[in-house]
Amino acid sequence: MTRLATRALVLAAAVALSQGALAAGKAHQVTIEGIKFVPERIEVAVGDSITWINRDLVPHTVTNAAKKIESGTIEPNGKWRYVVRRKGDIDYVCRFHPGMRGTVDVK
Amino acid sequence: MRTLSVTAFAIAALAAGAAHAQAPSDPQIAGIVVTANQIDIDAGKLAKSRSKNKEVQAFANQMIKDHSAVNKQAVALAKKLGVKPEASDTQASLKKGASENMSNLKKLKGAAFDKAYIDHEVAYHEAVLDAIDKTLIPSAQNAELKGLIVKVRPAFVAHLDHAKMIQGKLEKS
Repeated sequence: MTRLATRALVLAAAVALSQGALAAGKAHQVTIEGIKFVPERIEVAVGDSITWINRDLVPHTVTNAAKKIESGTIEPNGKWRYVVRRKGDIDYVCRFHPGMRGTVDVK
Repeated sequence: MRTLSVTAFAIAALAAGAAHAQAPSDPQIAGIVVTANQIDIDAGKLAKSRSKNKEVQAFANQMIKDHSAVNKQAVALAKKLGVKPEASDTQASLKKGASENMSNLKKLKGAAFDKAYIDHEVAYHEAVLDAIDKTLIPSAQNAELKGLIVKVRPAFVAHLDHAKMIQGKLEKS
């Protein structure tokens, strides 16, 4: 096998392994309803994913500007998925509705 | 202030409508809900174009987005239930009050406009919440229609809180 082919194989294997590790993370869900994130606080691990589902009548966002986490507008019945890639708590807000906040504790 | 007394009269009709008249029917409730949302969308559009205050503009934009979203769902539900929104005295009072408020707002600009718009938004959301609690939710016969009004209530509370926050800032400036 050529060196290039070997490198490509190693790279492909690494990507496959990392995808596998991410896919093994737990899936969490936060419901947006009544101008609230429910639950307001969740505990996750690195590699886990969180899906926010908007069950409210109005649009919302999931935003932490400092950490560059931005869902954009999540319309009613829409959803947004985020994969947690590093440790550290994430406090987030809805840009549209002052006072609406949630926390992701990352262990 | 003249504007607020005109508005207050019209808005009082909303809250007190059922006190001396029959409770509104589901078609009338649908009519009131759609009109109440549309009034705030229209006021929001005026404020978005006229205000130079970033917070007032952002609030106005939110009123447009939120009330449009609620109306979309209200109209879809009414269609699904075969409920055709009907006119009522309460709806007519709301429209009259809104028309007078808009006429007044169009005469104003700058800080005077911002204050009048936000003051009205506070009073309006207070009255709508009062009507939701005392008239619309208790009177709604259809469970899904009642559920929609119950579901929308927190958004109106959030709007009121937001408007009060801006009202406080405008009073200090």
